[in-house]
Amino acid sequence: MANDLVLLKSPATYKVGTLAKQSFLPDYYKSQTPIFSQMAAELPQYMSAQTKEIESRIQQLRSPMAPSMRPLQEHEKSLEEKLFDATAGVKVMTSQVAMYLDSQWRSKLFNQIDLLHDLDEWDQGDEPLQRESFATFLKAICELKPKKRPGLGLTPSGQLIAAWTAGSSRLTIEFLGENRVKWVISRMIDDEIEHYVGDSTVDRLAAGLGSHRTEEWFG
Amino acid sequence: MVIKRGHSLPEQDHIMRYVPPSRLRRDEDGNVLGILPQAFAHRDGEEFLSVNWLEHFKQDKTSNLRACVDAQRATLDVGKNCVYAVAVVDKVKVLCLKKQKPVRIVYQPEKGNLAHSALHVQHNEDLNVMSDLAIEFEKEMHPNSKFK
Repeated sequence: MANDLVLLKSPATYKVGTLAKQSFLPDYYKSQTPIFSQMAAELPQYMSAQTKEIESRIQQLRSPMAPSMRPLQEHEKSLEEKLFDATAGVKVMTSQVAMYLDSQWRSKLFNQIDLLHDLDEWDQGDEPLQRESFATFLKAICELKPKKRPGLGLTPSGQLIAAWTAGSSRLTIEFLGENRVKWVISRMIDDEIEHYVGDSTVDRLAAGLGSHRTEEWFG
Repeated sequence: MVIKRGHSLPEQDHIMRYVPPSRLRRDEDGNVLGILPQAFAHRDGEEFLSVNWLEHFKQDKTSNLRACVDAQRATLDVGKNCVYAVAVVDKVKVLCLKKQKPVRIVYQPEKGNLAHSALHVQHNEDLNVMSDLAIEFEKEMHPNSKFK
């Protein structure tokens, strides 16, 4: 503190201007009284560590950042937050293709997503629905335009599964990232189960399923 | 008969697989129709599929099943809408071998779950085999709500 007083008592020749940017004084003083700007700029070198600390805290009080403006602190999200975020994310994505899905479609879809992300039912170690997987699902639905809606499931890694069931005939499609799908058809023929498996891009899905009488699932 | 850790389970005995709600085959209204093939997928790093050996408890089948459910609940947070699916050891082995997939079902007790066993099948996430397993296990499904 002694050093601070000495400076104030013995002013030197001050050059007004560029150093003002480093000032800890309020803007009012900077603009109105140039001499203060230079004094302020030179002051810190004469301050004790304790005074610098006090000055720093005063500065923070002068221009506090609103809590809403502060960058979000990195923290591990709770499972509840993760599930909420995932649910909200896929609902927003669905709204972007709302014109292709009637309201009942969307309503049943959202009910199933809510069910899949039910915290009380959540299997430890599972990942919430991945957005890339859901994007592939939406593309497939827009492409296939099934009249019958599927039942939904989720893989442990968060890939969406759509299942259509007509008696013992089943179609199960797993939606991956990057527009890829894996599918399996199971049919009971003469007491034997036959499976047909495919792995393609979503653009080739309709062609891949084409020879398998999809109307029994899609209507 | 005493089965030691790591030994194969008897062919005619039963194994129970816990199926979480997200791996159940449903219709669009959420009604359960069966089990999805992905219920038999391995998680990353998982070497086997966990099952419970019913006959470990040496009672009648209903009591054995109840004991397995209790053991499962004691070691895992199960969803209230989950399902317990039961299959015969021999039938599971046969369907895997038909698809040329080596299979072993061995006793592997854990702390808190002495009926725990391991279904080792190298299916490499083949939907063909996983679908067969799903269809075999869904022949006997018991909803969690059945066990108070």
